[in-house]
Amino acid sequence: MTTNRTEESRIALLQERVNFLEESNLNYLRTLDVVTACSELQSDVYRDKDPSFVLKAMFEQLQRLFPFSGQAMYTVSPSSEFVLTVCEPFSMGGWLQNEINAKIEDGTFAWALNQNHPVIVPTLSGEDTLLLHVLATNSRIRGMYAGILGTGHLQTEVSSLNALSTILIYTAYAVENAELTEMLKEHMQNLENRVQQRTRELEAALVRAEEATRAKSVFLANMSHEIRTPLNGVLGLARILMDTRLNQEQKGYLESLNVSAENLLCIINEILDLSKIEAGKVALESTDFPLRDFLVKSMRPFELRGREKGLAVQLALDDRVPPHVTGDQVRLGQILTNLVGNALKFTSHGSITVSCQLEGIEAGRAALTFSVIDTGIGIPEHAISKIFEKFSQADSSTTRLYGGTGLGLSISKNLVELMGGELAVESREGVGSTFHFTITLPIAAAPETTAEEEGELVGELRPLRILVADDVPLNQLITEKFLSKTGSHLIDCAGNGREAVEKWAAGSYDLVFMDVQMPEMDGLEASRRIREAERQRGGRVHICAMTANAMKEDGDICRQAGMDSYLSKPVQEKDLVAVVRKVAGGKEPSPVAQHHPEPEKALPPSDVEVFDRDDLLERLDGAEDLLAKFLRMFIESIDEMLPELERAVREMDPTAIHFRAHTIAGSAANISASQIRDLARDMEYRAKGGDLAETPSLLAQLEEAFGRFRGMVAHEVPEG
Amino acid sequence: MRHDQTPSVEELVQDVSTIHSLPLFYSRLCEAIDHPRSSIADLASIISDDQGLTARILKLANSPLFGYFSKIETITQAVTIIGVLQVRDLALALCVMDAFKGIPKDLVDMNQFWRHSLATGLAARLLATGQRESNLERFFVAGILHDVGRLVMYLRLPDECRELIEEARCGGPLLYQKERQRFGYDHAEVGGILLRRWKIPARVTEPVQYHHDPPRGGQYPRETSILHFADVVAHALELGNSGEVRVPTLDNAVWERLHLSNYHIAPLVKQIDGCFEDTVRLLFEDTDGDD
Repeated sequence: MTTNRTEESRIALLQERVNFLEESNLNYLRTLDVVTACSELQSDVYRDKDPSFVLKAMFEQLQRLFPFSGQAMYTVSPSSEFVLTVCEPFSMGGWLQNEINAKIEDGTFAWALNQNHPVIVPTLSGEDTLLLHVLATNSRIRGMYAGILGTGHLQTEVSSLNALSTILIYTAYAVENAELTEMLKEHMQNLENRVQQRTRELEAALVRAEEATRAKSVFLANMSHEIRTPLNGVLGLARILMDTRLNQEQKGYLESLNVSAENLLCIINEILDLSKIEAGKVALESTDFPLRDFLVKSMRPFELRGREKGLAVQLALDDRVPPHVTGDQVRLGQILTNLVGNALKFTSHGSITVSCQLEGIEAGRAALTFSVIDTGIGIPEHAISKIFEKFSQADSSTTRLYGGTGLGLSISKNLVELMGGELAVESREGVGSTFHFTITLPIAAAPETTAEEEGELVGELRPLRILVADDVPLNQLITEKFLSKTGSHLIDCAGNGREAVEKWAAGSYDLVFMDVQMPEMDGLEASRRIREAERQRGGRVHICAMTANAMKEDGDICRQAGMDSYLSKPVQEKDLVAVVRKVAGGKEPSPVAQHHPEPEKALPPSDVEVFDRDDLLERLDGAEDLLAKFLRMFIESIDEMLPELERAVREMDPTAIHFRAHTIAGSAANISASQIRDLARDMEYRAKGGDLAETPSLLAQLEEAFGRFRGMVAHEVPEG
Repeated sequence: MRHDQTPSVEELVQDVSTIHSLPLFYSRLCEAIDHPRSSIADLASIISDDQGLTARILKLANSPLFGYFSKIETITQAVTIIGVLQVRDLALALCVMDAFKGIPKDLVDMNQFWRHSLATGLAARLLATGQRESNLERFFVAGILHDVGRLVMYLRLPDECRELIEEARCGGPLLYQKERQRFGYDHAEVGGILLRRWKIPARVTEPVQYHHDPPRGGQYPRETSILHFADVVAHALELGNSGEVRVPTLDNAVWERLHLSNYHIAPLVKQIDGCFEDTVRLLFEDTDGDD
């Protein structure tokens, strides 16, 4: 019996065990199912942006775990408040809010926020149970879940509580992921916008930068113009002044003035050069030139300067150096001039040797090494790397001692590099320096003629009709003066482009010097108009541009406007002469006598001395019709000036005598009246020297000579 | 005692786990929690059977460590408010502390030992709070139990341990490294295997087992990292002692993984200081009285 009973109870016990296991099994399966179902929340979150949809789906799953009579979700609003977002059933909202308020007040709510597990507390009435669970990820709290359990809360199954935690944590992450995804999208949009904005800004900045560069170029050109124009005046006047009678002291001052002005010009040129090189705007020319002759000639001025300083400047020219090569003669000269100039500057005794060695010849190109070796102060080791930098010298005291901008070496280095070489230096302090570079130049054939050299001779040229267009009267004067030195040209002036075109149309000129920058109409436009008119009229006048804009583009622009040649201001006399010579087409050395006052003038003047008609006519290029006009102009001006001179002599005013006599001498020289000229000049010099004793007699002689002149030309100048 | 043959970890633990078993009540508690039909009321009644434990859990629940605003009067309340798993973990910690008694005083001062363990537990729990980990009590428990392997070794290999401790005091490698040299395993491994035998969940046993070897953290790298760092902090603060006299080296990977910066350290130390003595008093008052 008892065994039976035990048997039965054992069977019952086992039955019970089986039931329990089955139940457990079901329970676990259900929990797993709920959790699995929640994995779909994630995809819902992405599909549907409204989080309440996801929360409602979650409520449904939780309902399977617990018999909730109501569920709600409070989410954290942007202003960090807990807002009731979803409530099921909806009607319970008010009552639930009341319960939650009570829990917030007693602190349970705050407590639950910090627990990552369900917190179970009785409701106010004590009849129901409130289950609170925070909706939070590791990074932040997103809300609070609240569930109402109708029955006694202590019956709540423990295993389901774990599942509830899992689901809520999972949901929190799902919501957060969705939010992050949204944020990422927004950021990407923002980023794209910002990139576009940045691109626009950069484009605008680029435009601004380009404008700034342009503005800089214009500024540089203007500045150089502004500096060169007055410098032109200074240099020109200095040259003119040099030709007047000066005492030793004045001459010395004038030379210093000249040197300073030349130096200033050199510095401006260097600055412009460097900016051009830096802007990559320097293109090397490629022309044939006689290298050997060029070197010999280039060294001549330095030999002279060296001799003055007591230095031997010698050229060591390798016999094998080809006589002719192709390259940029001007730039090569600039480099050597610079290096030798430096050597002279920094050497006080010893010698300077310029050498040119042939390294080899390959494929018709000669590799040539140029060296400038001095026995000067040398360069300290620490400074060697710095000397090629712009504006820097070995040390700042060097600047004070020796002067200079420090640009020369930088320019030379750049030029050598442009030629494909490298400027190097070896130096020992107190012993000397050697600058050297090697470049390869194509060997050129010797040209047939070497006529160019003759151009060096200065002499009078065939008279030309020349129009000088310049808005600055002083510049007109200077150009005129320089021109008149080369011969008895007929020179007219125009104050602007329009006037220039008008004068050109009215007369027939051989040569026009055209300032580029002028008011009303600039030189470019004037040139264009002249060229256009010439197309109908025929003929072609040589137009030479004169500009203070020594910038690179100017040459091209002038050429495009139809100009033939180009001079940069301040105009150098020799350049001007070269242009005139080119146009005059040849030189006809006129009687040199004209230039020098003859000391002996005891003999009665010949007719030729009174008025050399042939000479004047020749200078007028045989234009007989002009002769009368010129003579009349001369007679009229002398008629005006003689009474003035007489008054000055009466009053014994040396300044006035000097001035009047000078004017008369100039005019007389122009008209080939050498007797008048000589007398006036004699008077001029005496007045200048303060010697007025002879002036009355000279005046009488002058008046007599003028009378004779009048008589001689009377038939040429019809009265009226 | 002869030491020709050092016993293997399994042998070591086998003996101890039978003698020093967890009170039966803990396994009943776990069984109840796992039971699909068990309710909070069931758990409360199981815990309430052990008066001493109940009192200590309630004291702990009302301590500033938990910071609940009003007084928790009953175990039911504790379970619903602190959480089921949390109460279970607290109970586990307290049970283990009770299980080890009778270890020679000259080998280890049990009071100092548990103080170190508690400091580590607090540090781990506070670190985990900062990391917003869920169920903070498992960190607390892991901290309290992390050096339990040492107790096993002190019980079973007292002479060797004494030698090692003395050797370690004179410098050289750290104690756990000496253990590995001498026995082929260290106290962390012993502790992990013991806890596993006691069927403690893996997320507590694994961090304990690898707390000197965090790269091998296995399935619970975050928990292992936190425990490793908490151990270093407890050593550095010199709260209690479990045999090691020097501060173990902090694994760089742990620092990286936890995204900690120097700014975290000062508040952490302040928090530990703030609750350490209170918690010690709550947990050991009566134990000290019993001795």
